[in-house]
Amino acid sequence: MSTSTAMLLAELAVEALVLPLLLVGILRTLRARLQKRTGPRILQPFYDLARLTRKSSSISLETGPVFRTAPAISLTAYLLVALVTPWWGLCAPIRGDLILVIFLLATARMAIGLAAMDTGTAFGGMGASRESMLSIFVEPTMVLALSAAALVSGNLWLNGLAKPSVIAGGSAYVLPLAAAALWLAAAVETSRMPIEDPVTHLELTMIHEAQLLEYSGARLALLEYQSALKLTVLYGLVAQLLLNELVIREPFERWVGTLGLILCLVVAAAILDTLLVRLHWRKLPDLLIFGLAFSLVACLLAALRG
Amino acid sequence: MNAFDSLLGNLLLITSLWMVGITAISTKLTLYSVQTLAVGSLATLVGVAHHEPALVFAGVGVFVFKGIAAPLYLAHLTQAVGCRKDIGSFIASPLLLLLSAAAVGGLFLFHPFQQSVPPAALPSIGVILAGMILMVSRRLAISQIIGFLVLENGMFFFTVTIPHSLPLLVELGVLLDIMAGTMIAGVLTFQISDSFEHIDILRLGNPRK
Repeated sequence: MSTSTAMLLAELAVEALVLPLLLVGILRTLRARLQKRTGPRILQPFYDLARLTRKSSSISLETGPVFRTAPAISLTAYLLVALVTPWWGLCAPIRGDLILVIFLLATARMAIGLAAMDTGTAFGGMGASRESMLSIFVEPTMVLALSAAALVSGNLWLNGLAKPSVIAGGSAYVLPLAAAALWLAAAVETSRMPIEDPVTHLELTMIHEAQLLEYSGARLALLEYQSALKLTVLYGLVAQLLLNELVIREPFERWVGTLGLILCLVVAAAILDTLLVRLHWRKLPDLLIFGLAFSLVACLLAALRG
Repeated sequence: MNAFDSLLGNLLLITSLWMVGITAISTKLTLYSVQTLAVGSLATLVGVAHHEPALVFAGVGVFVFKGIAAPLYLAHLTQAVGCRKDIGSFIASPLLLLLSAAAVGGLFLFHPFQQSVPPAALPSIGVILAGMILMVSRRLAISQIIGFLVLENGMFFFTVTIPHSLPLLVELGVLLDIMAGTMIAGVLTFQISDSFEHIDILRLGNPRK
């Protein structure tokens, strides 16, 4: 391993460990301020994580190994996604194609869903059922949006997204459309407002959170960190698509641009969380179909362009 | 057809398909206004570049009347009649959105009638298709008018981008027709809503109801 690769890995490790929790902290504080509440400190997620790690974990006797291993499996899947995608603006240290990324995301979702059903509680099963129904919309959207990006950049390796030199003369709306679709999918994955109330305590309206109700202690800490990482990586990928439209070539500029765009998306998420109300469960397909249609049109335009 | 034209064509196509998927009238009018302003400015620019005063005139006309006045008037109508959303379409609009995206995709990929339709005209054909879908699928009269206007946008974009020397009188005639059509449709909608207290065309079948 050369020195530059080691440097890159170290930088990625620092960024993947610190940035997600920082972003979640910023999101929560900003949302509280927008709602005229004082809100938590920006660094509160770090303290929460430390507190959860120290606490002991209570596990129901009815659960099997699936429940115990699911947090680790899903976190590992997301760490791998963070390793194979250029979400932070620079080339990923490990080469991976978009099929692998979709597979890893599905693995994480499956692990959590199985764990939720493993507990045998009504809310867990309901959450798993809802989450898997939403994934009917999310997965094709992600596949198509990333395929459109792959068609534009000319290869299935997502690292192509970090090398904009191959994308000459704009993308004729392909990348903005794909970014919009991916952003919608990210809103579902990270349970943001029009889809799900991220701060709700009412189990009946929960989708993703309902699956995590039984977790406590260190396992909950893993899941909290996983959801923060998920937010960062998905927003990072959206930022890559948008940055390629702007054709920014210098690695440092791309890195700064990515950070800025991720921050913009977080601010937008805080504002939308404040402004919007949760959609009725049966109205969700009306919204999510737009992600599917946008990514489909993006794919078509990309195919025509090539 | 240059890159700018194809960018605009894609914008038109995206906004038209977007309109197929939504039910809120005001959002639809905003999207329609955006695409019409884009078409109007394109026509003006093309006219200036090719020194065709008639095209400049047509472009400015589209920009002012169809891009600003017609949406404002239709928004006023919507307010006056008091319908903010489509009360229903013959197919659920999300499904329709996917179907029309697939239809446009099929149009692009298979490209029928290659002798008469050049590849550059495909986006405008797609817009015309989306306009037709909008027209036939909605039950609300205002939505059908918007569909008709989108269809007309597609036709105007087609005539502006493909042959620059087409008789412009025809285009102006189309423009005037559309304005008249909008006005008449508006007045009719008003009348209908005054006399029947709804603008759902399904319920117009039996006037005695």
